[in-house]
Amino acid sequence: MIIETIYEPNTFLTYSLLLLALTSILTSFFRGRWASAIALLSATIASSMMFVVALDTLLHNTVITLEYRIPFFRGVGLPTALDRIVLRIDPISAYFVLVLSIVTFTSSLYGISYVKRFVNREHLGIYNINYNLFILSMYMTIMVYDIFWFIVFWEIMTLASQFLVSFEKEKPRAVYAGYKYFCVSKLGAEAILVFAVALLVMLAGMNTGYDAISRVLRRLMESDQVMFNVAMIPFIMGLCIKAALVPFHNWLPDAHPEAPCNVSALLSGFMIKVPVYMIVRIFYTFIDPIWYWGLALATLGTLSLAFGTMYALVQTDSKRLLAYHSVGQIGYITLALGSSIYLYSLGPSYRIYAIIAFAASLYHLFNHAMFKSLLFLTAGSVVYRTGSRDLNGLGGLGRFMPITSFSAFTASMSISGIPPFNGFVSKWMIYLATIPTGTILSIYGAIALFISAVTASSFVKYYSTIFTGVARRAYEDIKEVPPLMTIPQILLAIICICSGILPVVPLYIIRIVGLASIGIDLFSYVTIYPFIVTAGAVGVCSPLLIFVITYMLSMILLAIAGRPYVLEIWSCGMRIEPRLMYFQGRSYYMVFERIYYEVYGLGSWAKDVVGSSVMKGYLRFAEVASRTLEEAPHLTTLLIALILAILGVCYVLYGVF
Amino acid sequence: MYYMEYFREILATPYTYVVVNVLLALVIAPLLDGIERKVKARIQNRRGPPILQTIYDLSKLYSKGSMRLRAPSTIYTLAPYLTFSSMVLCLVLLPTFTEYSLSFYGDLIVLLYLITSASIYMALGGLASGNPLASIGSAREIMISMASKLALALALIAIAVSKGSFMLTKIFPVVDKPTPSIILSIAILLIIAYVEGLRLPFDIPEAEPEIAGGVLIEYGCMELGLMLHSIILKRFILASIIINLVLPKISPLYIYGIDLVRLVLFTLLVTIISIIYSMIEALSGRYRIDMALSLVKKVTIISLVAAVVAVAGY
Repeated sequence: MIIETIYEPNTFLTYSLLLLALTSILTSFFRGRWASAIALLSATIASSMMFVVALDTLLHNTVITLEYRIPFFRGVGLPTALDRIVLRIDPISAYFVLVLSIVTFTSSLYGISYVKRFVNREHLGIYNINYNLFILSMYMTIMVYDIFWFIVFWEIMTLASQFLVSFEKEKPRAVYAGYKYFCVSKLGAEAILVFAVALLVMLAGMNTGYDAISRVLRRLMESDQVMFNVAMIPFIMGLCIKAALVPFHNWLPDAHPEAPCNVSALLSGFMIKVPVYMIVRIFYTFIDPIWYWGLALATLGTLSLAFGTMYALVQTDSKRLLAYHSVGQIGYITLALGSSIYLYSLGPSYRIYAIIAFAASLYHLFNHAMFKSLLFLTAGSVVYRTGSRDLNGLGGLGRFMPITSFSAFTASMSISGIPPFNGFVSKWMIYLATIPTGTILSIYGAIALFISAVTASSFVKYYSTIFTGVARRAYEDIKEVPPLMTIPQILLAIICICSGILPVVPLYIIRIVGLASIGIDLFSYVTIYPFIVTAGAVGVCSPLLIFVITYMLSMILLAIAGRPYVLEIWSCGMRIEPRLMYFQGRSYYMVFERIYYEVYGLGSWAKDVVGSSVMKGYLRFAEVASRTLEEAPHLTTLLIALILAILGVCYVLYGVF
Repeated sequence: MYYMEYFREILATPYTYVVVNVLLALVIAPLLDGIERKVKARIQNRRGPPILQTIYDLSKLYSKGSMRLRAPSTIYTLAPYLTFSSMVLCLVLLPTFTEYSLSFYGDLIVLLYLITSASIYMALGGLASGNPLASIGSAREIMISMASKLALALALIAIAVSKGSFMLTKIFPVVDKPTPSIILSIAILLIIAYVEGLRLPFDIPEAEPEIAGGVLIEYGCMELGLMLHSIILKRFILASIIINLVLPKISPLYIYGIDLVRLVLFTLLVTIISIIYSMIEALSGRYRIDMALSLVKKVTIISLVAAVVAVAGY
């Protein structure tokens, strides 16, 4: 009763967005830790309110529509979109808001302690404003119902995250990473997006709402296929650049490691999925699924998961390894989404595979947000205590940081897809949807299965180089991180374990999303057990038994074992201190890198041929632009200038055509 | 008596025969290893240990207590048990001596998962022990396991796509449909079974003079027994996949529900495969890790061809 009286979706939504906007501007002037604490705490509160709104919307299957009117622009003769912001939260948006709010809640809570690292070194006001603005813009991109405001908030998202990436201004690598991210996003993605969207808006008669875009696209698909693809190719390419799919992923491995660790969790945990949201919108809301786009997305996804993970195998920087794995896992999500689009367009006999693939991609999106942000938070804990990201130099921290070690182990097992954790269920669903189809997707599924093994190997390296083994002398007095940093980790680990044991809970929510978007009920095609999902026909016994038996058997055997002998580590009979014998991170898969040189050589070839010419051009432009922008001291001036530029472009187009 | 009928009812379900499968495999796999050692020894002009020697070794190791390091590590303690359980579960999924197994839709993928996770757990155990020699062995084990996993996955999936089903019991007898992709896949499986079985050119992760035992260096007593038994069981499992694929359909002869014809044929074929493999093993030296990886890479390319041919419909 009490909940019903105080909760009203529109007010919750508005207040949380207002809270984020106000605190971002107010705390931007102060350098102290208390200001950051206020900003991050308000982000936490806002995200919990959004979580409640999203959950309520999903469970009651309602749609919330909100309209904010902006008084300044009325009657000026500009496109209709500019005088109001329309938010529409239907089940698809609500799902993404749900995922985002969990990720934001944990990383903001984490950040309250984490910013202690930067207190005397950097101006924390920059962190405050950009962090809250980043979160606000991410919420807005997935909630607005209008393509013009989508682009505006997309731009703000990119800008805010770029300043966060290059937050540590003294490190040249961070600044370079920020510039590269800025160049690739702004020039590469935004020009493409703006061109494609301007084309669509022009065809829609200056009405930029999603309904209008949907009508235009459907009309184009029927009448003029060539024009349709001319509009779609740049649009989807722009989205793929931001999603870091393989030919366009170059910015991610530099940008994500350099950002502060809770921002990396946000970047990897959610920002690379906003393009996935837009692709779901395009193919399931605007138009019906098209087979060649589905196949193209599935191919891009397979390339990403293969190359991203194989490159991650040989990294020696902990966060760079995690960044490459982000490229790989977004490949899994795209493979599943592309497969569902392709299979849906093949006809009713493949309908069951299409719905499983769609559910798998949404579920893997949720799981990836959970375990990837958990991984970045654990890497951040290690950086907080030791200051190091170098896998060659760390070791043996598991004894001193038990909670972090447990969380890292949970997340590593999840991302490797080992039961009973959540990664297994979503990857299993991806295999179930691609391998039995008997099309080229079977080969993609086999490659995905192999890459699962590669992911497991890579995380064996990540976990064992940081947390097991013998501790180096420099790290012997390390303590566990403060409770505000361990609580988010434990929360995410619990979510990982619970959604692995009881996949029916997230899948119930995904079923609502599936019903709203494709119109197919997931539960009528699959049977959901603990740990595992099966499609349709089941054989002699329930597969649940298998995994329960594994662990029971091991525990039984463990119990039978008698009282153990205790011995030292074998050092070939010589008296060597164990701490003098180390096996460094770089040595793990050195031979693999040498033998599979074709894969690894492709990256350096691409960097030499494509990257250097294009990147040099962008960097030159960026240098010129930054030199002129240094005259503008405050960040808000920059933001206003950018928005005015976008408005100017639209006005020019409107005026010319 | 009423409980006799109760027992007879339980005996009639498939679960009992699965248990029979597992128990027979646990005993016969070390016996096969003993036969392999004998054959290898004879080729090398030695007498060799008695055929039951591996069983004697394993029972000696199991009869000792358990062992742990002074610095306790959870994964190091758990790894042998997890490896062994994964292997035993593979035995549950595969029809070996009797034709019963726990089969469900997608068990092919579970099988691949279990074989992969067994190698991962073994490697994790080596890494968690803290001994750098064990770490080298673990890293090499993971590299070989990864490389051969792609070939194994592609070959099995090629067969599954050709046969049109993804339940192991429906894939298994393959002799009635000898398409080119299936023949190629069986050839690849023969090679991969050899590589994954950690037989001599490829026994890089363990039992090495270069790294004094590799992955198994810090394990002793019962844990060592479990790890060795897991390796032997992996060889048996891979051989039995191949045998299941090529087993012809002969009219069965049932005694107490067990098909005697299949039992004899299966045992004969698995012994023949073991003897052939051990002959190859006797005549090989050990590969360096990069040579092993190049060989597996070439096999992987052939398996990719097989998969593409299968998807294309041949």
